[in-house]
Amino acid sequence: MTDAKGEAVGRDETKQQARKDAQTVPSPARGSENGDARAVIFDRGLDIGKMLRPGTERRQSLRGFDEDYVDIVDYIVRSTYKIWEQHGIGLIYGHYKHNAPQHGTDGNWYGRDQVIANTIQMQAAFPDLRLIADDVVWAGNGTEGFTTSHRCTLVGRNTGYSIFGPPTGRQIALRSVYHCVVRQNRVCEEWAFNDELSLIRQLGLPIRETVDKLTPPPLDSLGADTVGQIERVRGQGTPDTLPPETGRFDIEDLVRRSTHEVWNWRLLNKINDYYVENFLFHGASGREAYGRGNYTAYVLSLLAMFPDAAVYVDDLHWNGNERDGYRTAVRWTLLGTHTGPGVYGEPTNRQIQMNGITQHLVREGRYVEEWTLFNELQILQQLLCGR
Amino acid sequence: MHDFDVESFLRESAQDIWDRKMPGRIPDLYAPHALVHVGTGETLHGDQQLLDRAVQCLAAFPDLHLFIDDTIYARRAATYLTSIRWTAVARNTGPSAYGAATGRRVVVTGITNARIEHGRYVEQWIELGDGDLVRQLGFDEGSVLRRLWPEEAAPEFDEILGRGTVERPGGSAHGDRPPDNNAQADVGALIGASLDAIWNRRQVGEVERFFAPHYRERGPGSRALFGREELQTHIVSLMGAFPDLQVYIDDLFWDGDPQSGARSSTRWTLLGTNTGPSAYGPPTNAFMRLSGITNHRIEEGRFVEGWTAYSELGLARRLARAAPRPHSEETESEAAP
Repeated sequence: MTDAKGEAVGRDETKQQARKDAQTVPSPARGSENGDARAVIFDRGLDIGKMLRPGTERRQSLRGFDEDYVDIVDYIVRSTYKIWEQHGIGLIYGHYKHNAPQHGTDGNWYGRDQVIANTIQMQAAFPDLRLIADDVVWAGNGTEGFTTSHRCTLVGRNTGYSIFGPPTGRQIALRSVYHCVVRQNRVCEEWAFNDELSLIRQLGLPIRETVDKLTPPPLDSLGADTVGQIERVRGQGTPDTLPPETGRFDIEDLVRRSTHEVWNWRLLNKINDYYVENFLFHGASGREAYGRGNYTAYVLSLLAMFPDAAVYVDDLHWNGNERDGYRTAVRWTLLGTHTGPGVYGEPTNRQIQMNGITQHLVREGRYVEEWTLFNELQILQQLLCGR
Repeated sequence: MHDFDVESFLRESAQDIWDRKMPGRIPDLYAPHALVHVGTGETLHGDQQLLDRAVQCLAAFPDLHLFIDDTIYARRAATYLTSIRWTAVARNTGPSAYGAATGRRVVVTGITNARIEHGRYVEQWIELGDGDLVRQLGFDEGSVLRRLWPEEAAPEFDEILGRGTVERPGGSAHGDRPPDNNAQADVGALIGASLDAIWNRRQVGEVERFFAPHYRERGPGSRALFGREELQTHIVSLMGAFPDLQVYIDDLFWDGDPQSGARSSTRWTLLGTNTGPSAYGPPTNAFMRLSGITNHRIEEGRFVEGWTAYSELGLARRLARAAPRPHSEETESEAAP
């Protein structure tokens, strides 16, 4: 029996062998193999009704967590349901640390009260909002805390005022990823990635005018007036070289190596080694690319606009094992100067900071599917501000 | 889960929703965060969106009856992969997404594939002969397209940053593919090898090797092909329209084995650029990504019967979007970002 996604097509097996870097031994804090029968994984078939009555049996050590949470995935999905779908907004007091910083695609925020304010704003604009969980990738343990990456689809109708203006009555569906550091039942830091350009488009608003109307973020919060040389190539040298592959597969090495080689070394031929033929890419602002040819075009078009672009992996965790495949969550930053042609219009010579998150599905050592979001609205503000 | 009967689940769920008019069963039959992909390129998120859509469909076609023509399924660990081939018969007595009620009786065929876990639909792919449906209702395709996707009159904020290329075999990127000596090993190998040879490597004559002389294919809609010659003509005309086309298998399962008889279901994606003339008109240079499902009946190592479903409206939508439009002030500002 074949595996999902195109296993039966002539996929060459020759490149699967060697990929392991001796220097990056995955620490337990970074990933989870989900080996045993009571594996803590996100289960799409599971019933929310059942999840709301999960029993009291802990499946995982959770020090300081509310009694009714059985594991970290349960904590993420069910607290989201209680707070954002059932309007239990006050539960945020028990679920966020008082001084939790939040890094959003729409700016940086600070503190629990801000989370409450933003939540109320969102729910006023979309009172019937549902957050449909698509995946939760997590790492960590009950003692030291967890890192989680919750991908979901927001579905709702815009019947109230939003930051984009009066109610439009439109139905929306957009992708979000919430990346959290969780300790003792509380989110200590959060990176919230929302697909704002998709939202603007689905509300039926013109993108350019909407961007112009929004208050431009202070330049320094975007790094635009702190221009320095982007550190990819030192002096007259080359990008950093990577230690040789060691022949044993390591998911962390795959992500770091492929990112560095494709984006920083511009070795786009490596896409053929790291991605399957019918790779499916779900990008920011509703972009989709099917197949390596399209994905390559996407990478090229970004690099063409920001020829000095450098990509840094800020955080990486994963679930899975070699047999079942891996699911990863990667938080990254791209620095670049807008000096080339592309969809963002005439080059502005401004430096941008692109903050992104990517979840991958990896099977047999290669990327099969990917979901990426980045702060595209912020980048447009940065590039178009005052133009 | 031991006594879960997937066959009766498939039949009863279809019967409950459509024939017995109980769309309210959808939250029992689908996981709350189920995904439903429709061939036009749309995805429904969650059981509530699906429920709303099903009720809308019943409002347009209140006497809808769904006949299940065939079911295929396979089990992969705790997951069932299923395929239903169906025919719907109904009278259009209410307003539909395509326009006002026409009172016409329609017969629509389609294929629905699904992934079932914990006794519920978790993901579903619905492909139906929507182009044929629009013709039966007596609507003009162009006006239906404008009605369904009005915003596409103006260019979108690019679908992807760059417009991609289709990877073609034979380049160094692919290396040397192993010969398909074991094409007869199982149904998966047979389908993979035939698709690769005939479609991707343009060895259209290989149809003789993989298809029975009396091969019959139906769909989408009421299209019917009989015999290998007609099949070859069909394949070549598609290649003429999309000279760089490639077909990829997204999922594939089957029951039986190629020699003694098997049934298979293949979910595929076709990529290609419309740089050649075709039945759709002069070249539009549209980059096409079309998804579809083909189910086959296999005997003595050859395809004897096939059913294909994909969204003709979805295809027309892509071609229409790429057609050249006048350069106006308004479209300029939309495209600027």
